[in-house]
Amino acid sequence: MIMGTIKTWLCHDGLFVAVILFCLNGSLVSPVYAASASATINATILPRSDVSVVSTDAITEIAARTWAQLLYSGSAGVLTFTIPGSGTATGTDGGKHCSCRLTGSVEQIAALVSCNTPQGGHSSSCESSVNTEQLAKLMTCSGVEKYTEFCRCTITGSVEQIAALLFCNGTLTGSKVVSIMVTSHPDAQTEKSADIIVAYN
Amino acid sequence: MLKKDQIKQYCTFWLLAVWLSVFAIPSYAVTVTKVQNLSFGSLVAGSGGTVTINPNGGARNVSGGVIAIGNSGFQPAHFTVTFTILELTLVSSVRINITTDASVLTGPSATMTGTTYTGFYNGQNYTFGTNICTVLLICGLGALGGTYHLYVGGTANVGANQPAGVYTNNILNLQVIKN
Repeated sequence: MIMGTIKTWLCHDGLFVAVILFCLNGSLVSPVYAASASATINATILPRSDVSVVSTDAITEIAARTWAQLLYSGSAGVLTFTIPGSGTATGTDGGKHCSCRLTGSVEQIAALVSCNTPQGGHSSSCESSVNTEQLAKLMTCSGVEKYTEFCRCTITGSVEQIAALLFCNGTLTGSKVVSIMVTSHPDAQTEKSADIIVAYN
Repeated sequence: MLKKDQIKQYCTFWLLAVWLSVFAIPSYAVTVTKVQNLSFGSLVAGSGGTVTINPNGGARNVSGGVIAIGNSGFQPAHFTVTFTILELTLVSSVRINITTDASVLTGPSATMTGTTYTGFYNGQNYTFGTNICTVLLICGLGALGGTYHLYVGGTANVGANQPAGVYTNNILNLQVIKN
């Protein structure tokens, strides 16, 4: 009787038990590394030294070039500049950084930041318009102290020139320009000045 | 007394039983596939701080003196985890781990340490090392098999004056573990 039961179990239920084990699929053994995969991680730190290097060269370099050439220059890192007309950097920060500044009325700066209609396909003839709402947004961009490590340039060209250089579609979206930040200037609030940082990739 | 053909039958059954059991452990029915790598993008270190990639949507945020450059070139890692039918078993729990040595990113002349990672699995925030499936009620749909998406974001610590260069780690190793 007992032998018969064992024989039956061995014959039929053995397979059943095996199937159950298969369905549990390893769950009775702990732990089981069921699968794995890997990916890479990366972060690119841009050379900060470019700030001081470019700040020296930019005055001469920029003065000798057209707007279009500046926008598509091969400089890497954070590029600061002096617009032809102002000629020189207005100060230094710890001897490492030039200091340039955008000056103008609220309306003028607003015109710069809202300029988005290049005329005749030439950047220097970009048409400006006033957008105080956009200006307010940019002027309240927080953390001006965050950017003090970078050059600040005084831009003394005409509204149209500056707008053409920095903010017009077709130039702003050039392959080299990846980030532009405008912040209120800490020392000249009454003049509604702004710092501009242009980052190139 | 067993007959010859009965003995042959017993042996066949038990060989099959052993074969099924052996190949059931460990499982090969879960597959993890990398879709894309994790990238923090381009940064300027400044006075130092952190850069974070949100696994849910891939947004990038910086803190401290770090400045994010550009609006592209950063993304969370993306994996697909595929379970076959009955793979999320009735009694097992499943969890996903990341190797701890992924906390260090190595650059040309320095490292970035203390990198941490966050997950977004199957539409919900996920803490690595915790169970994604513990009981039949939760695992029920999973028991039918399917492919699930796991996104991995993270936070990297950028030091003040962090030397320029590309910082990498090649072993964001994802392990799906069953109990």
